[in-house]
Formats: sequence, structure tokens, C-alpha cells
Amino acid sequence: MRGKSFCTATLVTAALVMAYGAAAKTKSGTSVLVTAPSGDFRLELASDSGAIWLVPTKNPSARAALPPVEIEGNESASNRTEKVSSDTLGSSPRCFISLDERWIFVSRGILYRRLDNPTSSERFNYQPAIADGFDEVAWRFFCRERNVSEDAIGIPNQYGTWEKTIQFCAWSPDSARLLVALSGTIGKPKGPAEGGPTQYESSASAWMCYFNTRTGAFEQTDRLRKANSEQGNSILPELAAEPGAVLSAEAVGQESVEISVNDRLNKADAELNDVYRRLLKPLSPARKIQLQNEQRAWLKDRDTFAAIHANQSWSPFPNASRIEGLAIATEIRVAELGKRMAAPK
Amino acid sequence: MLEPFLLGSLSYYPTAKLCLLAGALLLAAVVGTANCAEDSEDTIIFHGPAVHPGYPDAFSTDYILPKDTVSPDGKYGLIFPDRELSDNPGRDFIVALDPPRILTLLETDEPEFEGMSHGGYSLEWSGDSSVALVTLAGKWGPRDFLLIELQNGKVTGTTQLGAKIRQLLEPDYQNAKAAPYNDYYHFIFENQESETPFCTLEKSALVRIDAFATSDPKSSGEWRARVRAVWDIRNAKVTRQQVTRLSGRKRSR
Repeated sequence: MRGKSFCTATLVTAALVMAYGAAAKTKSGTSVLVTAPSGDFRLELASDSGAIWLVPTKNPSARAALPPVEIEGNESASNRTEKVSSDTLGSSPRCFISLDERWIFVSRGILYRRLDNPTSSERFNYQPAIADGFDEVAWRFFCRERNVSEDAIGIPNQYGTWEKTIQFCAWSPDSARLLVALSGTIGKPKGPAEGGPTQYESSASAWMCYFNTRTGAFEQTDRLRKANSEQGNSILPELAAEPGAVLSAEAVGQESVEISVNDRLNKADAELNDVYRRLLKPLSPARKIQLQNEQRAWLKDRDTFAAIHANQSWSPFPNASRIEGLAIATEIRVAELGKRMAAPK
Repeated sequence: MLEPFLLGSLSYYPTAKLCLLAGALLLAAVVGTANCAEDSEDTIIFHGPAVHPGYPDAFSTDYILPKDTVSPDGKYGLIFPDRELSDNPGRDFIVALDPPRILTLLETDEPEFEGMSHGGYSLEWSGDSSVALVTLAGKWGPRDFLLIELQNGKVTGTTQLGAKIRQLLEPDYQNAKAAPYNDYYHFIFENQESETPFCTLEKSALVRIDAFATSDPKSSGEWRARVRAVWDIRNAKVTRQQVTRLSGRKRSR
């Protein structure tokens, strides 16, 4: 599972380690977290604090910090959670800006919203979108859907570690939906008699829901309900797509079923085999070897492309995302070879 | 060949195609001025391709490019995941620095990442920067060797040299009928006191191999062997080889 989102159970030591990692990248004191789709501003993290700064591209001196939010934390490594200010955390947050730039999701479980009808001076004024806290309301929605008590989520074990995370999955193309995945333990911890991991009554593992930015409410669609019901804790073959993986967010009014990445790759592979065979058949022996070598080189490029695709997609389902990358690369190759076949000899 | 891939991938998000394209172009236009992060003393910031508009660039936020991996001509380097990505199946890549481009991923079962337990890397470049020999470290010895050939900013060949060396040793291991190291590997490479590298480049033409392997690093009586060989880079084949059994007794599996 990709750990892109802020893990609220991070202990002080882990936070320090991560802070070191982020700070190691720069000696200027800031690191760029993300740039807005328009390029009008970027978000930066100061290495000496957890504050996130919004920096206008044309006027960097007008930078302003995103307002900190009280979120659940466990900085003291005690066996209870407590509220901490988001700008005191050492971990490097991941920030995802919607295409319309009205929304910023921060992987600490915070959603910011730009002021409506902003004046020119308020153009970059972002405030927390939900007064009760995005993470709180998300988990409340989960508990209602799964009929679980809110108190049962993420109870720390005897060592003070606990799991209650919200991971970013995707923004929809119309910016109307933010897809997130919730993971956490459910119920009281049962300490193992002699070592071993703590057992819980049950857990949520990348349970998905949308935050609808138009209604201001969390929701599920048929796609998500189906996906959430398919998820399990079964041990998968290495690099197999995670069951129930959803890789994109549905635009409002364009709800649809998720196409299996395995089916998509198998279809593209079959098409590629077909077009490759037909292209190879009439070639002279020398040209055949040339095409075979080209295809071998392409296979390596395909794998590289898929690895890049998986990284840049930021999905909590990295295997499915990688397979999607393989499928996209293969579809492009089919189109390339198809054009070559159609070209006049 | 990656650039067409990346542009082509936009066509698979038809509803967002124009927005993504416009966003990507704008992002590309500003990225040169937008980055205020500087390189550290030991690492270089690398910007990856195919960033989704409004999403972070995983390669600049979650990867490191150590300066000691940069080729003599300053054109290429190795990137691998940092600590924050270490719990994810990130891969290692050979990259071009200017303009930043990902050239190929390292074909290894266990990619390197920052802070990896018993991990580590070394990268030897030929003087003309046309060949890179990557050695990845493991608990008992090197866990893999990879050879990458480059020309005019493109990868012209990759060799999983670790697998080739294993092939040289495999017959002797089979003859010894030794128990395997684990379910995945019959044997592993094992460091020697001399700490001499197992593989060394000779210009851009040869790799001189002098490697030691064992099926059980914890026991002195198990199968151990040494392989001395020469890998001809241009012709992609072993030209000389000698495998010597150092220890090993027959044992039923």
C-alpha cells in the first residue's frame, strides 16, 4: 500500500526521520511540494517547521502560510491520541490541487478551499473547507456506512502506535469529486501473548469514498461500493493488481464502472500480438531481426513508462497503477505499429 | 521513446485531455522559475516527467539523486526512492540530468532505497561515460550487478550482470547438491575480507569478474565457489570463465 498520505499514527522518531529526509533535499530552507495547474502559485514546506506556504509565482514575497488545522496526532507516543496543530508536524506533506484550483488536499487529512468570489487580494486565500475537520467528517461517514462506532477507530495499542489514515487517490476531471481511501484499525487492540503484531477486531484497508465539492458531503457511487466490497486481506501474488482498486475519480454525471486494469492490459496485449505478427510476416529476414530488436527495446521502455506512471499517479494501489501504465504503453504501441502497417509501402 | 508515451497517455483521459494538456504546458513553462529548492551537498534535485497537473512530482519530492552517482561528463546519474517512499514499490532509474529525462529503470528484484536495511549502492562509470556498472549491496555481499550502456543520451543496452554471474555458478552449485539459500535463490554473493569489488570496469569494453558465492553464509561447510570471468560488453557475452569450488559437501535436499 502506498504510504503517500500523512499517517496520523507517526511517532516522534518517525517524524524526525522523515523531516530529515525532506530537509536533506535542500539547503535553502524550503522545498517545493506542488505547483498549481495554472502555474500561478506553488506550495512550499519550510524545513524548520511543518508550515505549508503558498507562494504566488509572480510575487513570491506575498507568500502566506496555509492556516494550520487541529488534527489527531500522537506525537508523545502515548497510548492515546490527542489534537495537534498540523504545522507542528515534521513529516513532509503531500499536497494535491484540484484542476480548477479551488481546492487543496493535504495528506495530513486536511482539505482547503479558496474563498468564493475572491477579490484580487484574496486570490490565494485558502481556508479549511470543513469546520469539524475533513478527517473527522470522513471517518464519521465511514462509521455510518459500515455501522461502526466512531470510538472504535484507530485505538492505540500498548506501544502507542495506531492506524487511522486518509490517503489521496484522485481528483475528478471536473474538480467536483475528491477520491480518498481510509485505512485504520477497528475495535480494541488485543495484545499478543508473546510478541507479534497487535490484533484488532477488524480493519479498513483503503476503503474509498468521495468528497463532493459541490454538495460539501461525502458520498459513494456504485463504482466505489463495488470496489469496497471486493477488497480483502488475502495475500496476493507479487505485483498483482490490488482487488477493488479504483484509479480515477468519476466526474459528476459521468459515473461509470471501473474497467479492470488486467482486462485492459490483456486486451492491449492481444491486439499488440496480432498487429506485430501481421507486420512481421511479410518482412525480409534482415528486417524481421530489426523489428524484433526494436520490440525488445520497447518492452524495456514499456516497463520504465509503467513505473513512472505508477509513481506520478500517487495511487494507494501501486500495482494496479503500474499495470494501468503497462496497458497505456501497449495501447500506444498498438497505434504506432498500426500506423506503420497502414502506411504505403 | 518515452516522450511519445507521455504525450500519448493524455489521450486516455478524454474528458480532461485539454485541461491536462494546457496544465502540463503551463506547468512546463513555469517549472524553470518555480523551483526554489536547491541541491544539497550530497544530492541533486531531479524533476520527473508526466506530472499530473496539480499533483506533486514524485521524482523531485520522493527520490534522491546522489552526486556520487553522476557520470564523469555530468550527463547521467542514478535515482532511487527516499525514506518517505521506502515502504512503496518504488524503482531505481538511470536518468539524464540536462534536460532531466528518465532513461531506464534498473531491472533488479530488490531496488535500492534510502535507508534500506543492509542496502547500499556503488556506481562505476567508464571514463567516457558510456558504460555504468551498478552494484547493489546486500547483507552478506552484493545482491545484484547491472550494466547500462549509453550513447548520445540514450540507453543502447542493459545487462543483468548479476544473473549472468549466477548462471556461471549454477552448474557447480547443482553438482554440489547443496541446500538452497532460500526459496528464491540457490545461493548469494558473499563478501570477502579483502573487500575487493566483485566486478570492475576496464574502460568501456570489459567487466572483470571475481566473485564469491555461498549457499549458506552462516556455515563454513556449505557450498562456496569463486568465479573469475570476463564480460565482453560490446558482444554481450562471457569470453573467459573459471569456477572454483571452495567448499561444499553433498547433501540431500
